[in-house]
Amino acid sequence: MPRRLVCGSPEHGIARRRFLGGLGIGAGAFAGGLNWLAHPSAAHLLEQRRRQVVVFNLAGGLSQLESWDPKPGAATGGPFRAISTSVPGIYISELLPKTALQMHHLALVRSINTNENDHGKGAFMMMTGRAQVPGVDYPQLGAVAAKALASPEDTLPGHVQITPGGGGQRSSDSAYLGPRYASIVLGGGSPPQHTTRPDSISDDSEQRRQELRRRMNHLFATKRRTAMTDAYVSSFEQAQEMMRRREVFDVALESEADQDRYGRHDFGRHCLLARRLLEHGVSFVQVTHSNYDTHNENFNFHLEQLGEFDAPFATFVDDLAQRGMLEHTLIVVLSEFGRTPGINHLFGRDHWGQAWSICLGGVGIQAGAVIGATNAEGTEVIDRQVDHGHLFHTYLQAVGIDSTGSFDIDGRPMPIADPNSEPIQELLS
Amino acid sequence: MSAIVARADSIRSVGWRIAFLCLACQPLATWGAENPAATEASRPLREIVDATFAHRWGNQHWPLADDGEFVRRIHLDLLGRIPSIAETRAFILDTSPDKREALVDRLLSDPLHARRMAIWFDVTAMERRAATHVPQDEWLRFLTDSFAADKSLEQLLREMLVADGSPEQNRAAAKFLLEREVDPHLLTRDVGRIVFGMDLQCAQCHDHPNVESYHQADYYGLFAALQRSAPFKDAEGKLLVAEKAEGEFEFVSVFTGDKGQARVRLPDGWPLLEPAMAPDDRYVVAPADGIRPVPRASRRSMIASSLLTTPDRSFARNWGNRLWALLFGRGLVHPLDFHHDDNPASHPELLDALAEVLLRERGSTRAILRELACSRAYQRTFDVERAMAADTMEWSITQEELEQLRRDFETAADTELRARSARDTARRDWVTAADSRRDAISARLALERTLASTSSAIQGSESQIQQLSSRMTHLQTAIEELQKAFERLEWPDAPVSIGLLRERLVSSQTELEQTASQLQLQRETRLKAESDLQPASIAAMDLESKCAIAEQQWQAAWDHWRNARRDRIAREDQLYRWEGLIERQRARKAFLEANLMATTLVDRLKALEAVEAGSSTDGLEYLRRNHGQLPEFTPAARWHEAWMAVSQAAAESDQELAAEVRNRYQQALISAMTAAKASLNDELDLWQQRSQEAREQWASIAERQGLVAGLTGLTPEQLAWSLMQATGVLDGQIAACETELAASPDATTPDPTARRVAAKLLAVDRLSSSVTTFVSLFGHGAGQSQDAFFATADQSLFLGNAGVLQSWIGTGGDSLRQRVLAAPSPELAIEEISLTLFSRPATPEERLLWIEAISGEQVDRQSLVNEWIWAGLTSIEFRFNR
Repeated sequence: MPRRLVCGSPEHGIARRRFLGGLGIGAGAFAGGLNWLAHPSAAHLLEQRRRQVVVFNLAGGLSQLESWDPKPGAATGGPFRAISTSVPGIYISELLPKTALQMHHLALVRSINTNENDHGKGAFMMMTGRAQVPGVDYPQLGAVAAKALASPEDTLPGHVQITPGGGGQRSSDSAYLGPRYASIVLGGGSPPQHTTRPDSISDDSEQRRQELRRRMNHLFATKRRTAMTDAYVSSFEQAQEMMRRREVFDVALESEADQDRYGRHDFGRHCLLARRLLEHGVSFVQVTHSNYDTHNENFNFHLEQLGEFDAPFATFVDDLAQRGMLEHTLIVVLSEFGRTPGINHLFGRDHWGQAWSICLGGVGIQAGAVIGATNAEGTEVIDRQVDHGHLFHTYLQAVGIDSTGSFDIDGRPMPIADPNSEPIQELLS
Repeated sequence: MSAIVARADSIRSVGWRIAFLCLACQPLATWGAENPAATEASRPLREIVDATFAHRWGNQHWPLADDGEFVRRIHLDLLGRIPSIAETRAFILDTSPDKREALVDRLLSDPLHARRMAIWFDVTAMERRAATHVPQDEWLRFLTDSFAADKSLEQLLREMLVADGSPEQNRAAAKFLLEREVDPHLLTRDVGRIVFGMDLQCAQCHDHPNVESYHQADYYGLFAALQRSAPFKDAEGKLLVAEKAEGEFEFVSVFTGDKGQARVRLPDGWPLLEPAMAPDDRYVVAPADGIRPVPRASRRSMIASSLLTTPDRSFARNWGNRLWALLFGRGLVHPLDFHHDDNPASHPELLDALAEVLLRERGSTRAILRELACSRAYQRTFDVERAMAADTMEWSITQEELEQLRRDFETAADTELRARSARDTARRDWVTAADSRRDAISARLALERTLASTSSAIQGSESQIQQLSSRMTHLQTAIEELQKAFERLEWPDAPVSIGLLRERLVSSQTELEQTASQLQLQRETRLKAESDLQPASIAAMDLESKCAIAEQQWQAAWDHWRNARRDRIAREDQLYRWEGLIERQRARKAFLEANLMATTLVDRLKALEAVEAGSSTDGLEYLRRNHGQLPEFTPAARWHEAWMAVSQAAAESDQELAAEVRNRYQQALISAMTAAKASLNDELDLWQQRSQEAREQWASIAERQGLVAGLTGLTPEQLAWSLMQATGVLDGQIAACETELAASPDATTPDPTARRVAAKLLAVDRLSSSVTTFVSLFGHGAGQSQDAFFATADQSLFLGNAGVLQSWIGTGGDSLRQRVLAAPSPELAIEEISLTLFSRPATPEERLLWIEAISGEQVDRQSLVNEWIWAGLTSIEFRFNR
């Protein structure tokens, strides 16, 4: 019964003070005492009412005229019709018939003027909420969301990108927020790197070496324990958990019916994977759908691309609504810019940052709202002009982050969003 | 200085009450006085360091690291990897008294030390930016050569700032500028942060919102020096640095709308005056299409040549701080790129001393590292228990005294603020005067140039007039003679010829007139220049003296401010020092108290167990006395009463009832006992937890106060090389390279020692590609500060599953795995592991664990050894430098 005076036993590890701050991993998951991991269920997360963000990035620049702000009959309008939606008075392009039926969950901003026609700069603005300034790097929305929303107890990464290809590794999109909040890229929807054990190591051997590692750490911790050592120890427990929960990244485990509903193609699978990840509590998921850069044959390409986008996206919105997830999830559909109202001689539309649209919905957003308007030709914003800064503030406010606040980075306060901008208040619910 | 002495007196008059329980070495009189060591420039740096810590935090006889700790630490710091087991053994067995200093010297002269420094400098300066314009190996070679030659940091940075990437120069030196695409804003940010330790980024669009001493003008002062530089692509598409000799910049605050002209100044506010120059003289190579302009007075060179000249020594302080951080894991100023008045150094006098040495030694990095590594502060032990046992000093200060210190500090801060604004006004006046002076001198130079050029033009015109008039005389004579001949000879062609000659005469006449009027103009110009020159010279002289006066006034204001600042910092330090001492004492007392409580609780538990084993009545009595408040006690007491009553009253009549009651009583007693034990255990847990928290708190305070060594995460490179060292991969490669070199027919190094060195370098070259993966996983993003430790799951997944570590562990030859498998006894095997991985003998716990594991039934020894090595390599102890 008598115990050693300073035991640092596993039981103490969890209840003790938590080291937060600039370190990799906050809470001390110590020597295997991972009690909370026993119930990482969706119900548990729901109970916490944690807010989440999902972004659909239509890379290359979606045409607002073939999507959210159609101008049928105008010289610039192109061949497609506008159709009515589930919200009386809102019309969108006929290329999005299924999305139109979900409009009552969504809202539109039709008055964006970012005044930027360069892919890289436009994407930077939309993803960071700031204009690119030489010498300064800002964290992307996903990194900000992961830092502000993810719990230090999470074992899954807080910032995930699903891209058509590439990836597998951590990227460097978190700037001064540090690698902890950088995205893990699931290229082609495949799980993160190194999440399976090599065949050469047996289950027993794995168990023994991990146990041994814990015991060595335990012995060391009786001598010295700091926030850094806790973070290091936790990173191994997190890795173990990621391996244990590897199936979270495996979309094939979703029901056949769901896989059919979302479509047996990359984007469909990626949407379903996004749903799966959100259900398992990942704070931020971004799905990239590529490519909308239609300098020629704009109409054929949009017919094709949106044809692929419409059904899975509408299914996704519907599912989130059905499952009550819209109450804590923000959905954003964006691009780096829109496309020119003028149609070029190749039947294409070019880059256009002056008057374009995005779609969003879910937590914190007034469903069925339409912000701003463009003129009859779509060449100019005529009402409630906004830019990337307003949008960035709005996304954050919608999920309950005070976008006028600052992150404390090593004693340096870094404004979370551009201090010279503000949220679109009338869009927030 | 007088202000400081006065302060010392006034503080003493406040009346310290310092009670030394175990007074060892700190004479009372020096407390509260200026640290005498720091002011003595000629003292070796190590003594200054140790005297500073002793002065500040008391008692210099803090325990030092043992040999194992030291040998690991110094290898990681100076060579960038852990020592080999042979190096560790040799060092521990060495009995010479000065072996630490000898080891420091040996490592500093190791060629791999230059390489380690090159990588440190590369990561500091380039922050893992991609190598687009200068190949990484070329750059690392340049750096390695620089550090091998012990080039000063000042010279290195100077070369990097003036470099233009042209083939005449060492192109590698231009990497800093080229990989940033010569972008003036990016360069302003990074020159500020990296070269001067000042992150002025937030002052780009307005005065810094949170740092009072960072002004927009500081940002644009540096920007002004860099904005004339631009990227230039030569005919082959190679990027070079071009620089113009003109172009000013006006900045506007987005907050206030205030405008300002960007003037060249260093980030610490030190203005750099541009040389006066006639406009025509500005270029060595003038700008033209497809030509790279090279100015005569490069603004980049202005900065580069002033690195050590500014009175604030921001450059020297920054690099002193960075070298300190290299060995101590954390800067005196932290973050490293955030030097400013509101973020003072933890030990300002130490930073001053470092800057001083950097100036004096012209920045011999090696000399500074040697002094720091030989200080006692560097050699502090990591063992908190040992260090804590030495912390026996006690002190007290009243709340009023502390308040007084705070008030003194606030007064000093106000004084400094006023002195600062006076300094800024005086500086503005001086810079304005200096600008006028420069313009006046440029004007005078321009006039002198006009005079010189018009004089030679006048000479030209005069001689032309002479020629023309002699030609006209000639023509006139010829015409006259032709006329005469015509009259005499009736020559029919004569009128034509005369006509021709007349025409030439007329044109000469016109030319003459033109030249004459030109001459007239030139004479006027000269006259004007002559008459302007004198007033211009006088004006220039006048402005010269005005400027000199303004400069004097500014310097006086600056001195005044510096004294005020020093006073403020000294008072601030007093405050910090007392707060730090009190904090440390509090943590230690909390620790002792918690331990005492825990010991008492353990005793009580023992006592409880003793009575548990004894009679049940004694047990109840014990519980009544000690745990009577527990709810579980009441039923036990009641049942006891009942039992007593039953056993007395019923006597033999109702045995069954008595037994039942007795049984109930026993049960109630057991649950009361259990409850009491549980409550004691809970309390014990609580106090043990408090004890550990207090110990960790003490450790973190003591670490800041330089009494105990801290933990620093290994850099990606340190981690990779240490893993290769520990597993035996590195030694294996060295051995292979050595054999190869010995066998090669053109063996240039027949000397075995030289060959071994060559083999080491070759092996490191061959293995360095393995480091890349570690950098991408364990390093921060490109262009971000690389200082902070972080741990993410993908790193652990890599270490566990990627196969790299497994294959290293399984390496053949004289690897750790093979040595462990070949060890003659389990004791020697675990010794081999501990000494290799941690540079220390195995602890009794580890020995026990190992022997238990190895002597189990059906043990797969191969697999067991792999598991042990893997667990050791991924343990906290391996991951950190301590």
